[in-house]
Amino acid sequence: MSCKDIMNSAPPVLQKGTTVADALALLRQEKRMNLPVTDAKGKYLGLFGAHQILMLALPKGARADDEQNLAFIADSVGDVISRLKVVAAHPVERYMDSESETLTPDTPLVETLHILYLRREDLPVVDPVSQLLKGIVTIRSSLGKLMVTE
Amino acid sequence: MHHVPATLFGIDPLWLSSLILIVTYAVIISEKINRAIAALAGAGVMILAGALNQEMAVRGIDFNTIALLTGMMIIVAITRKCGVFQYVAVVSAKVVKANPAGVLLMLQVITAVFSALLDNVTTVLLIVPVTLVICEELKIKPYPVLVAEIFASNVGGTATLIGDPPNILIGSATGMSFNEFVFNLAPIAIVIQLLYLGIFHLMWGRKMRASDENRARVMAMDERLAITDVRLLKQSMGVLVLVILGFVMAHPLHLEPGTIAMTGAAILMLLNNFGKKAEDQSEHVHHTFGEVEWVTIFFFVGLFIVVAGVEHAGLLNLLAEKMLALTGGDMKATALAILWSSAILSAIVDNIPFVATMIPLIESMAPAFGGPEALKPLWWSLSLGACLGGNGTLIGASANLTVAGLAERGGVTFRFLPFMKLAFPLMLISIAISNFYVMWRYL
Repeated sequence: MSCKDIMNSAPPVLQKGTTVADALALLRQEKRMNLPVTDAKGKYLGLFGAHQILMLALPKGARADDEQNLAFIADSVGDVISRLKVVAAHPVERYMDSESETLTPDTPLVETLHILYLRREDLPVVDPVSQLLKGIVTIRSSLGKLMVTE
Repeated sequence: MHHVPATLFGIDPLWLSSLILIVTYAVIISEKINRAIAALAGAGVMILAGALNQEMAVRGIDFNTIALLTGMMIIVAITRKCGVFQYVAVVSAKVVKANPAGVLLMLQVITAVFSALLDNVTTVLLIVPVTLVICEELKIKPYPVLVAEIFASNVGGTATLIGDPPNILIGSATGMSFNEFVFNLAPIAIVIQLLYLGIFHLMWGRKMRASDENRARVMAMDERLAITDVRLLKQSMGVLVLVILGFVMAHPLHLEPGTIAMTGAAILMLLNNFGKKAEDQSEHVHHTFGEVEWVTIFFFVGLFIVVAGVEHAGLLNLLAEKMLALTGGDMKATALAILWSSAILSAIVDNIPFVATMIPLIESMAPAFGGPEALKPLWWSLSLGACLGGNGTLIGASANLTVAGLAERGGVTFRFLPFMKLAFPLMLISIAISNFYVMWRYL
């Protein structure tokens, strides 16, 4: 058994050029933590999701140092929303994570589960040669499939 | 007297060691291979090729410099966690009522002061993120403030023995005290910093504007919340003050700066771990050691061995003779040649290998000038040139690249040429002032 046996091969995707606002709407609609970003030919470009949106909600200085304590900043909800409004019309590829780990359809099952356990997030499955998106493995769906198999 | 090993294929040690030095430095400059790997590989080849044996190589390592760097890195790794640097930055912005021109000025001043007492890279690592936060709240462009901080870090670092690696190297090699560095370099560093404060105010500060609403956001920041651990703050500040006092008192007590920094690091780790379970202590200490910049430490180790190789082969004596022949053995000409050449070279290449090579070269000029005491103008020229020259380009000092990297993550782009067009002339002004200072005070 390998990754392809537990992956969702027709996941919702964000097309290159999708705005941050539209991406947020799709994430909420699909109840996903993140979604893969692809180009028109289906080539995988990166991941965009809750992590990137939280980053965009923070002051830019926070991105420069992950260990920085920001308790001294007195921003309100309105300040945070206004930061998100600034980027709402920007394309997702500007902020997506293009360096995060990907799986291949042939990644062995145990290694797939191991990576899911370590990363604690849904992971894209990408063909290692063509770089085309083949599917996505979510923690929820993989556990579901394993239970059905049993 | 050491046993001199036979060189590979019987090649003249002078040519062999020079070739190894040139190849090592070329690899470092190319940045294709990590500089610590390049330096250590060069050191290994120097020994394997027979230019040095292991005993000579180990004797070539300046362990005082290594201990000083490592000790200060440990102290800063622990201190930074208490949030004192954000605290000072926020207070400094509030002191000037969040006026953008005042913020620009204050952030330069605190960067210069921190850089004089700590490593420059560490200083900018701590100041840049909070600078980006303050600029965003004020809705002013962060680029001018970050450029001014680059200059302040390099100028501040020039002022003390521990402020910048070239000074650490010079201080350790010559045995000159912390106080001697302060008395000789701090006055000129202050003059140059004041000049930069004026220039940056005229260029940028006086045109910066922030609305009352945005200034109020900075004034609403609660600096006390930046402090994450009051106990750690007290411990860190106590140890830092003791270490600085130790540097000031080191000479009469016959202590080396490396001993003081390492002892300070040990005391701070002891205080920080006191009363904790053995497993927690191991985890804490492991984490603290993990924050030491081992790339820099091993880079120094490798360089010391490579330089020892060429020094032992007589290359540096030969170069010193050539340089004296060029300057006619005149102290003034030699000092100014060192000042300007080290400034230009330090703007283009890493100043650490340059200074590491220049130190034994200058030392070998002692007989020509009447002994080691007479070399002091040359040491101050080397320090001023190497430290201030780092301002000339984005790659001139590690702190510059660190600022650019952090700024990039915060959405601010630094480009090599625009920075150089602005920075190189400003750097030359500081060297011209240093030229007059060296002539007026020492020649």
